[in-house]
Amino acid sequence: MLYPHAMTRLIHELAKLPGIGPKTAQRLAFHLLTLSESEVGKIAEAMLEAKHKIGFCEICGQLSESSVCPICTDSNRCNGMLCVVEEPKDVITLERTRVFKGQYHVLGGAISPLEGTGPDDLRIKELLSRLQTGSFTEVVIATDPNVEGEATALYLSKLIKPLGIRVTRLARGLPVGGDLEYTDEITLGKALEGRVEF
Amino acid sequence: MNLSCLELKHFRNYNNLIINFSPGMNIFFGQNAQGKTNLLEAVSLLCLGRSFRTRKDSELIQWGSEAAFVRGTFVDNGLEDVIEIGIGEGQKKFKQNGHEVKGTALFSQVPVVSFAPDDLQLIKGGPQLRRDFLDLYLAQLDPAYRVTYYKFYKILQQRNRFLKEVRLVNRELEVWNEQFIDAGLKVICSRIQLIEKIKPYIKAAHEQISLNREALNLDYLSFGSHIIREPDDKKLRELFQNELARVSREEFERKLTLVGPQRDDLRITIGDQIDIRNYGSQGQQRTAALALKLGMIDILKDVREMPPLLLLDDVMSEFDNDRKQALLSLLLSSSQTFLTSTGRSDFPIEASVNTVFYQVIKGAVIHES
Repeated sequence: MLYPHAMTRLIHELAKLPGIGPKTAQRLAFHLLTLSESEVGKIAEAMLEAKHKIGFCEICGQLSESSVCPICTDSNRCNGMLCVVEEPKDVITLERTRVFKGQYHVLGGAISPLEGTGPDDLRIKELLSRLQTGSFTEVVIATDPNVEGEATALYLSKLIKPLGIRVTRLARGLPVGGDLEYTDEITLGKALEGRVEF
Repeated sequence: MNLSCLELKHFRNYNNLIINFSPGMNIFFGQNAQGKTNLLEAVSLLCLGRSFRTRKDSELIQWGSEAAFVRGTFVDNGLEDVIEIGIGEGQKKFKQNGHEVKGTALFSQVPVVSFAPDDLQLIKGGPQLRRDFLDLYLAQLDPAYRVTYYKFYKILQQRNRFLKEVRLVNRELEVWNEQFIDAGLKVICSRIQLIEKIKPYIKAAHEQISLNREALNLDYLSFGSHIIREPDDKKLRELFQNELARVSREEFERKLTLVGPQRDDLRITIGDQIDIRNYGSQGQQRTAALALKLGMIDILKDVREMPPLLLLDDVMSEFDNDRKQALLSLLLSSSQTFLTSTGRSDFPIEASVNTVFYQVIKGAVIHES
């Protein structure tokens, strides 16, 4: 062991963060050592505070400082639409569009057997009980358009359709301001499949 | 380094399992075909990136499932490392602390030595088993060996392909020969160095467990049946070239590479140069197989500066009471151990913080308190 134990430990823990490899972790660790104690304290405190104060909304699973998030308490948003997403950050992305006015449900991931994530590890049970007790008329599935997201979407649609609720999937197709010529074949094919009437 | 927690999903006969381990001895007992060995297999997968039982990864996936998933938490000096392996049809994913890594990266993490009743085949079986044995432990002792071997293996495949496709004796073979000799010599020299290094360890282990005090000896057999003890590059190169020239015509006829480390062997002799494979008694062979493995524990301890994890699959029943006791006291004093056995009574010891018993019944594991 080349570094003192405390330094090794710091590098080891930093390297567990996403996007941080061993070299970057080492650089961050050295940087932290050059900071004053109060500055390091601020970083540590911010991390702990976020961890202590932020939990998940009991209803939708979105990040929240209270037991129910502002979107779920907003009575104006009960329009019968429920949007299902993989991660809390997807809610923020969709909210930025200001197009969707319904409620959300965060699954906490997508079905991925290779990563050990099965249906039981996602908030699917909660989703179904929400649908059974609430007055939703449409579920919009907004999982990622990749293998895992598609598998999750298909799985959910099979569970929800028997409840008599309309299930829709986000459209895939041409980007706004794009060029038909530069669109890849798969996307263009999906855009043709999902064409809409004027 | 020890394994503190194991999580299995759709792995062999385990649907969903989480077990915490003791840093000392972990003993799994139960009837046959309940899933005891599958637990050891999962541990070996985490340490080596592959099973010690099979090369077909798809066998690891639970019947009717899409993919198997194994997660292990290793603890070393207060630092935690999480290794995750996902196995699907035709693909394998490795993660260390959430970052995707190559499977070969695991080789330099946790050393492991496994014991199974099949170990006797190391002595009695064909040369392939002994080469695999050398290669497996070389890769654990020196992670660079995997790269060396892989390079050699690729050239061997190209050369065999070439021999299959040409019709006539062809001078183009010389182009392949040069690279083949270079890569082959590296493999041979690494193996000879390993054998010279492990000899004293294995001799010492053998002396401890053998009753007759016969000396065990290991030699590397290359190029037919030349015993090679010194990795002298110049001499070996000459020998290699001569042998290749000698079998050249036959290689074109049989369309196969006939000389090289892929056909070498490890010769194990006892006493006065008696080849134990052909002339040893069953008892001598069993003792020699055990000595090979015990020697590896000691050398891994010295070279890697950490004791290897030990996996013992149903070996207690193979030994008489004296050896059972000797083995148990060795295990109690060494590193983290995982054992399987059909009978609880094979272990005349009490459960403690360091010795934990688990009963395995049809894919469920019950911690015996």
